[in-house]
Amino acid sequence: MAKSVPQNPYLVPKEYFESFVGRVLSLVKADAYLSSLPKDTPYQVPVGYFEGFEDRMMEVIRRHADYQTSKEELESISSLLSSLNKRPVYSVPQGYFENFKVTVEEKKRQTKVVSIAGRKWFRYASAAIVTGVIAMAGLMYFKQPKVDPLKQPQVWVEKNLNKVSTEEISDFVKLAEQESQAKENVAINKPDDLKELMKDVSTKEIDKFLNETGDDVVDETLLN
Amino acid sequence: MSLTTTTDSELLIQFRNPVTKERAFTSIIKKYQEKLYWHVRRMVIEHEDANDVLQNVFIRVWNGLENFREDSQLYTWLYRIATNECLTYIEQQKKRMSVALDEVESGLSNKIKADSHFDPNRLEWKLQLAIQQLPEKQRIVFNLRYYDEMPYEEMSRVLDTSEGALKASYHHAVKKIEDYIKNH
Repeated sequence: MAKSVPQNPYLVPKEYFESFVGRVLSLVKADAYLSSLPKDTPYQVPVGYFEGFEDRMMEVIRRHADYQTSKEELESISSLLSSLNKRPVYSVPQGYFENFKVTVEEKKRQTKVVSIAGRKWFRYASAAIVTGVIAMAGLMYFKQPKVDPLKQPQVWVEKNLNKVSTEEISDFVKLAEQESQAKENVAINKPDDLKELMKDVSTKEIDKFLNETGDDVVDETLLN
Repeated sequence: MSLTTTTDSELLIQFRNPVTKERAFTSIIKKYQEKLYWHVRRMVIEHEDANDVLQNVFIRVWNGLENFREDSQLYTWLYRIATNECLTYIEQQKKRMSVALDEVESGLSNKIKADSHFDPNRLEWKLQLAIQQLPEKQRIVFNLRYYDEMPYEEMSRVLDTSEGALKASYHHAVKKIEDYIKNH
């Protein structure tokens, strides 16, 4: 059998043995130092503090609420009550404690409060609803039956007149009167006045004007 | 290991484990049901009422034990719940009956007298009638000290009142009860 060198399976921290002596020496020195220190406590004690200390302590204990047991206490304040039997006077149904059970309902899960506004589906639903409302409104508007002013002038006028204020109608009437008056003024103008106006305009210039304006209807009174 | 010898800390750990939650709760009920029952019964008198209140107490325990901070003893916390449930129940009775406070107290006295075992000649029954004359909170203080022998320090945590005030209240209650028994 070949000789096998025994192998130590345990590991040792690096440089453990090299620093071991130093560590032990420092502990020994600390211990020696502490031993050399005086053991007297430097705090002062009031003069006569320990004299009568036990009597003072007993006073403190007697003043404590639980100084006496309940029995000692009762004996000291009421001999009558301390003499009574403390046995329960009330009766208990037979087997009550043996069969006592508590029915505990499952703790209801606390309802987790979730903000619905935070949900994506809520946002999408809201957008769809708004779009739908707008679409419906538009549909209803464009699908209104239109009135043809040529075929149903009275209905058309009545329908659109509702949109016009009284003030606007009044202004329109005034304007119409003014224009009408202006037209009458023009019609009343004598041909002589027109000649007076056109006397400086040559026939060539009139022809040029007519060519530029094309087939526009021209009041013949301007030509004469 | 017997369930009743399991410490409260161990029961709390078991309760917080979903696997052992119900078993731990059952253990807590078994451990404290009688103490809490009598604490409640002495306040509400009738067994059926005590049963209702006790059910409510343990339902609250079931719902609240997960968040119990253990800054007090478990039984202190249980007593606190039981006390509050008693007071709530009595308040509800008052509203339901829509009567004055003294009529409620005489109603409780009547319930005592209606007990099938009531014997007016027995001092223990006179004591019960005397206790019902006390205001509700003083009644609780008396019951906790006299019957449960609860230290004032613990009682202070149950009732959220100073030890000195509780001690004074108890001494005063004892005197009132003694006078009642001597005069009836």
